[in-house]
Amino acid sequence: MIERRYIELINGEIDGANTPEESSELRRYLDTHPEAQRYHDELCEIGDAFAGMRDLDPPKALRKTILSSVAKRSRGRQREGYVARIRGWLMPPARPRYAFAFVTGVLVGFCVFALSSIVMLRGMETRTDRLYGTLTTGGEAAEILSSECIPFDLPGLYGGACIEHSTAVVQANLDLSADEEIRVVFEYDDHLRFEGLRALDESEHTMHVGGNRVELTHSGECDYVLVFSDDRSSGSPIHLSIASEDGLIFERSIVPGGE
Amino acid sequence: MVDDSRLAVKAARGDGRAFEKIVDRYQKTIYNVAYRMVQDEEDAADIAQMVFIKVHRNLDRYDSDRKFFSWLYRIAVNECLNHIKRRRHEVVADRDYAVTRHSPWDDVARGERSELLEGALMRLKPEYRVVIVLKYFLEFSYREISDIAGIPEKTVKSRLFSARQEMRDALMGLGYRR
Repeated sequence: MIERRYIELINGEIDGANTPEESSELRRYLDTHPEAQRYHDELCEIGDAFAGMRDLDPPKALRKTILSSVAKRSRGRQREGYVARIRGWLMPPARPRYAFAFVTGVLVGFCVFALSSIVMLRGMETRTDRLYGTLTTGGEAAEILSSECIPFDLPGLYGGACIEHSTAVVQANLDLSADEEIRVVFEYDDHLRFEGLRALDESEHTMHVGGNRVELTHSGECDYVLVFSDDRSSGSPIHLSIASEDGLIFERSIVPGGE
Repeated sequence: MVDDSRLAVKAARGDGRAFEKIVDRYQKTIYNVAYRMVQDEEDAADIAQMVFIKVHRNLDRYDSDRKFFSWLYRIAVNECLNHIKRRRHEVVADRDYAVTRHSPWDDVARGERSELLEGALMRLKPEYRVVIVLKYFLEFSYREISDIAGIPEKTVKSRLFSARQEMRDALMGLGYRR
């Protein structure tokens, strides 16, 4: 018969939860109690046997099934959201009809205000150089002509870069998540001119611009937008390289709008 | 390597690649946890799929101060327990796992040994099976098991003791003799 206390100590020993004193006490007890020693060995063997069991490989289709189910659900929820919203607008419930009328009134008022603002502001000059902290490509939103997105899944760097080319503008959207400090370098020809950079999150970064080259030093996680003006309609080439302390980890030349 | 919490935050913001990375990182472990719990490959795949769907659906509720794997395994454990409840899968324990000859452990072929262990595992109550799987296959501490299973550490300890004792008795019953 093994004393309850020693059964607990045996289990604690197997789980690595005993103090050094408890372990010594148990060892002394096991040396003098063969039955307890056998019990201890049997429990240890269960652990050893489990350790010898191999993991199974999941079915090859599992990943695909998971991702497609998730995508389907996301699309479904989005669609349900749209339908519910439209239905809500078309068929407001009986009690909140006043709220509906109020919201409609506010919206109509907003539209009237927006239209009158457009009429009043038409013809006024937009001085983009005086807009601090705002990146703008001019008075009207430019149509994106081409976009190339590159995912990063590199040692120490995760995220991506999207280079968008619109009329006379190239915009580089960077999503960087780096374990260590990295240097992101954009090099370009004389057709491009660097207009500005904006960090969308708080981050530690420095920027150096000069000689058709922008160098961004970054660590941690942050999204950035860089804007270049382009005097060529077809899009000028940009060379993007990323280096960590250990050397170059990524390099690619991109011709926005190019083949 | 980007840590799990950061990936989860990105995935919650709609970054599909971050979610794919979570799936790549954990699908094998979750599948194996589920397999150890239900001993059926098809059911394990269904459970793993449901776990990741639930993870995706609840990413916005994930608290990034908490360890991501604890949250993930908690979902997995609950999904396994719900599955067992739904399917009354314990009948598997009645399958004929018994090895009639009383051979020394070392002489039992590896495959046969796995079958014995799986049989003994399936004879445990699901809540005991959970602690055994978390302890022996995932090598979690009492505290981590407590966090995942949502039970106090003291209960983890006592369930582990009882589960181990029952495993030993079940193995004896299935033909294991030293």
